[in-house]
Amino acid sequence: MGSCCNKDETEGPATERTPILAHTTPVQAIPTAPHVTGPHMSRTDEESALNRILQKTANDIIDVTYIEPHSLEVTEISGRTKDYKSQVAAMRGVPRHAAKLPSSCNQAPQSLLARELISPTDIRFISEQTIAAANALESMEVKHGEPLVVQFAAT
Amino acid sequence: MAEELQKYLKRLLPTVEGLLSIIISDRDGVQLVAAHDQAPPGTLRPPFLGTFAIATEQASKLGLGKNKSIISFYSGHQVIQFNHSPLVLTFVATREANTGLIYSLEEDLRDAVTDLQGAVTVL
Repeated sequence: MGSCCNKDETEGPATERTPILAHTTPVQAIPTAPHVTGPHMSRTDEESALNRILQKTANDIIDVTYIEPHSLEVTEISGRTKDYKSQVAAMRGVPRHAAKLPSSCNQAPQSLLARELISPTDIRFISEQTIAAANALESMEVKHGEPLVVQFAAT
Repeated sequence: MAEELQKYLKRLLPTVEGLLSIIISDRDGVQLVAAHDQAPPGTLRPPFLGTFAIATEQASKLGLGKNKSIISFYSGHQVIQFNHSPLVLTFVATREANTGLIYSLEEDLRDAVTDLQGAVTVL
């Protein structure tokens, strides 16, 4: 095609194969990856490369219409269930799942937390009585009438 | 160990209102350990539980990495399933149950599922 203003056509009429840009270096071919088939690969290598490509494509394709119907037989299901039960029963050690709830808590934590709160009067009463009990305990002391440590006479 | 695990699952059931069943199964839907309370019978069978393996395999091809979980809402129930290949963790609950709270139970069960993965040879 070329530029409509280009008047330097020294090599005859332009054809479909005439380069548009006359003074450019040819584009270097992009080096092929090692796994891509080349002229020096054997037929088996080409076939294995092709199989790899086909396998990768098959793995990447999402096809929900073709699903292998693997309906298990009842006997197989019951056999597997028994195997799993025996294997699980044979598991040793303490299970790592932590019993994070207190043993007396059979309800959902959020239902317990959503219950009506204790009145401030009760809380104040509990606090005062607790402080009084602590003070009473601290004030307790032993008043002894006789020495507490007695020296036995040496024999 | 099996009894303790089942007791733990049974204790987890009432912690979320509307949670009907907790099932640990293999890829084909065969149960290893389960606890259920008035769950729809069809949700406890291998044909139902086994569909997740196919779904998660196809979902992993969407270019977002490996699929971890699928939540399915139905008219009356919801099903939350986790991929712990080769095991599957399934929760079935009513439609009104708290989905996020059920989803968070997976973290509580992760250790138990990991123990099962190592101890049980999945056929």
